[in-house]
Amino acid sequence: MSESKSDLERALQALTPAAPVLDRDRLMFLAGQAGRGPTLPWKVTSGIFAIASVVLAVLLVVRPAPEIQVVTVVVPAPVPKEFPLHKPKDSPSPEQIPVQEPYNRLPDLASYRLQQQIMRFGAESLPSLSDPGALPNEPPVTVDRIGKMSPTTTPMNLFPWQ
Amino acid sequence: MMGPDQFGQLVDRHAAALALYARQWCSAPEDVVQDAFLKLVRQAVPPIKVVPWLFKVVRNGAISMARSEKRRRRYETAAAEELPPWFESAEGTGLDGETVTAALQHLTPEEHETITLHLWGGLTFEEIAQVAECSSSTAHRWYAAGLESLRERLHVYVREQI
Repeated sequence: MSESKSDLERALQALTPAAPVLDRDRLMFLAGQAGRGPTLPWKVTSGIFAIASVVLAVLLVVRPAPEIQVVTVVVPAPVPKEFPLHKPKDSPSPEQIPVQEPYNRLPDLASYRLQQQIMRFGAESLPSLSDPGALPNEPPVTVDRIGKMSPTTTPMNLFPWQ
Repeated sequence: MMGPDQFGQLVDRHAAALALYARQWCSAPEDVVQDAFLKLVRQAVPPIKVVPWLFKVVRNGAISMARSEKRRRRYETAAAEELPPWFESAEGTGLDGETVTAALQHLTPEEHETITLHLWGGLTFEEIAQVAECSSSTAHRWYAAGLESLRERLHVYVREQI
């Protein structure tokens, strides 16, 4: 019985199924198209970007002028922190600071001028004690006397030759 | 990724058996077979066993197509008298294609399916079980029962011919 089965199987297998009415070239073309992968995401993405571009262009054309708004912002003043007191380590004590002598210690005006006179014209320019031109009632002009002259005595009076 | 040559060989080798398998359910097996091949191309990861996968897709597509009532009814009423040939004429086999087609249509759907898948699809019973969603032993039982039924019918036919 199994042999007859095998014979029947062989006889049936010998029959070739009818070729389907299948356009092979069209099937290959469609397969090539389908093999490119999904194109829907790209189409959707392109559409979204195209719409966004149009909307942005319209907004750019019809957008209103910007309104100037004055906004007052109250900013609290910064609270200064306590600065640390830097005490220099090597600062000298007040006792160590040398005391400078004041510069305004000028010599007396009369003696200064006499000194200048001597330095300019020499000691010979000074009137001698036996000057015949000297006034008889006045004591001879000496350096000590010049220093004791009253302020009203001008150098012009002392040196008439000038 | 499947190349064009490999895809073309697959079409040439299995399109007829796939169409014969789809004819069991639907009136336009070529469309179902074409869709199955296109689905195969769209697969990001190709199936491990391509041929059983194709038969499975064709099965689902053919059953879905059969559920569209209008086409089904129109096909049944119009084509009840003149069935398209399922097999090409084969000389020397002792079997006529039309007779085998008529005998196949008297089988139960399960017997018809397993015989088509095993004899003309070249699938093993394990693969038939995956496609038909049954166990391999059940598939083998359906096959044996269908073959016995065919043998009886075709034997009678051969006797009448003699």
